[in-house]
Amino acid sequence: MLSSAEKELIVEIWTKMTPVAEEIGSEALLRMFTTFPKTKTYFSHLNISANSEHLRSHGKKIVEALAEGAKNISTLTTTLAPLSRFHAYQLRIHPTNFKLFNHCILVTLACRMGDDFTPVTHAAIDKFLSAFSAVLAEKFR
Amino acid sequence: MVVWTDFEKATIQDIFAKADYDVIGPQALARCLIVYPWTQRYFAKFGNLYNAAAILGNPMVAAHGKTVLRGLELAVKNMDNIKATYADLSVLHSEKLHVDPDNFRLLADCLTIVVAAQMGAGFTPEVQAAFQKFIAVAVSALGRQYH
Repeated sequence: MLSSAEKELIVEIWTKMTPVAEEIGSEALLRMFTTFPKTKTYFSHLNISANSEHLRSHGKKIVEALAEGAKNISTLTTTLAPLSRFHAYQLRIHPTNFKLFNHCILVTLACRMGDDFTPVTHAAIDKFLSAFSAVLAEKFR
Repeated sequence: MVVWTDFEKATIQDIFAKADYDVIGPQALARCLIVYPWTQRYFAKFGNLYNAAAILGNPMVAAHGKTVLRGLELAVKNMDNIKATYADLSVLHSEKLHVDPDNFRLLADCLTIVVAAQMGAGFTPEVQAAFQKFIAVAVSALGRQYH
């Protein structure tokens, strides 16, 4: 459950992330592909090497979706309904992969924010990412 | 048997040589207790864990964080034989401490975050992969003697 302080913190952080969505998103993806190679199996149709066009645009898309979710935390299910359907019926990504990606977002934020990525901030973002992933995985079965 | 590349071995030795155990151990454990509050179940005797500030200032948490890091150092020093090195520790965690091994993964994730925050840009995707591989081997070894 997200407290109101946490919701504010989340909006604050994701607002800061929006202008650098491409950098954050592509870094998180690259970390995931490097640390958990099995995640690359979903991208055999794209060039996801470091700094590639596809990696950057895909990373940007994801972070922008997260920012959108951050602005509408109380209505995640409705806001994310189209994305939820897309992930369930078209992408069909094994749900464990959401956790791997979320972890890599956290690592990316930790590297960039250093000490500012306090335990409280870490907890709030982790909870938000979990809630977001849960909605994305909702229609899987 | 785990096969380490030269890069992986060098990376792990380097990270742990430069790490201040007295700082990252306590930080990782405190973070775990804050981000995953159910892990507090194992620390009922540690006194005030009421909120993040209390956890971060708790001396027992700090002391235990250092203990955990020193335990991890055993694996760093015996990278080619982590399974055997951790046999006794594994028995301790299962039969005496009764820790759900899924929680090892949570602490490992928190440690990764702490190291990442410290190293910043130096924690490249390749370094992260090496670190996570090492941590995963340690976690797996720790969970082996559970029956």
